[in-house]
Amino acid sequence: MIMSAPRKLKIYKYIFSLLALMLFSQTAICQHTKHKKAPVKKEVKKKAAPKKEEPQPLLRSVTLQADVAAPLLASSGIKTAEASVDVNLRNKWFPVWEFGYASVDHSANEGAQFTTHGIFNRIGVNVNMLKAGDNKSLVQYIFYVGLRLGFSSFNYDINNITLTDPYWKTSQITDIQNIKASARWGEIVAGIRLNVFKNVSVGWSGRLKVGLSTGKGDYSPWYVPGYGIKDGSGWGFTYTVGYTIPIKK
Amino acid sequence: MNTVNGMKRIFPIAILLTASILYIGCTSDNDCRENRYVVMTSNFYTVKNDTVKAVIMDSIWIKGLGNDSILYKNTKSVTSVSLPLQKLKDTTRFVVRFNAIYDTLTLIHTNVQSYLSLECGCLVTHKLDSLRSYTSHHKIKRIKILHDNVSTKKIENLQIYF
Repeated sequence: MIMSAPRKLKIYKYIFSLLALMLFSQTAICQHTKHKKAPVKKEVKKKAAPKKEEPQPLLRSVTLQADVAAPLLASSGIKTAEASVDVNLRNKWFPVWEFGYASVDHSANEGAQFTTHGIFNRIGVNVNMLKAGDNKSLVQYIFYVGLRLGFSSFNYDINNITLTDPYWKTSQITDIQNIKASARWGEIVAGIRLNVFKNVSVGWSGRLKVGLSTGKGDYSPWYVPGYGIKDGSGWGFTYTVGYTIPIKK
Repeated sequence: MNTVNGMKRIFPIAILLTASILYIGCTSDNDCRENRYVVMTSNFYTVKNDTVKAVIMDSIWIKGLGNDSILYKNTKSVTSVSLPLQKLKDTTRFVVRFNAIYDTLTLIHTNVQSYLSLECGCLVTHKLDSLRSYTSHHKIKRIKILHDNVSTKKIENLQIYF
């Protein structure tokens, strides 16, 4: 059976929406609402009358995004909120500023408790690896790779550090409070963003966090806001919902 | 058609990222895998005709002074013993019995606490004071501190001469 292009488009959008819903419920598959959008006709027209392409305008749009997966993926005692702003330059380059807040209250198996709260910032750029499209319309979907530099400033406490001497049957409990810390790290990012309805988009990104530095000191944080668990896998993921403001000239 | 083709291209990436998020969201690791076992290693020696020789003890019994738990209970054919120093005090005493003869080893040390991680807590290592550590002289003739750092590395810290 041969399907028409608009029908295929609808099917893909349907599947993307299902993936998004899976992230919210992790198990449930919910009903999908149809989106009206058919940029295909324009593209057909354009093919029929090819022109010499003019260079892309520099400033195309600004997109605000919120990471809606972070609160859902948070494990015990970890609360995070994250948002970002990026600028579309020539449908190709997307300088981005990501910022957020994390609050952690985590207890380890042996009873030690780590608490922290702090803000974080990441700056970097994404590069659209797909064709930038024509110079009149904004790209409707991008697959990008990018780099980030992350910074975080926070205070943390480590309470109830139990030191036991099993043979001599002695023990000591130590509380360390209000340790000031700062951290920086790098990230390699890959992701997609898809315009699903008017100027509303959804996006996924996966990122590998590398080169974490928290400075020297007698203690080290279990969790770094913006980076995650210090001795964790180093992988991070976001699922974002965004709104794009086109810039017309 | 371009829109459809573009979606076709990013579709596998979306699947991969979604699966990864779901997988990472379900994994966690809270166990300590660091080695925190710190003991002082002592070997036995004797001097005959100005020559130092390792000694195999027929039977040995050791416990901490003021502690009911016995570390070595008439253990046979022993050339080396591993003894835990006190983590929260700077003096550790061991009672050593060879058949019916008792000696007391007194080790003076400083304790160094270092934070490992939230899961592992602190590691305590020791630095032996060679000048202030001593022994009684019933069976044991003298002790010599060879390496004063007592850590997770198994090295010969103390030589006990008979």
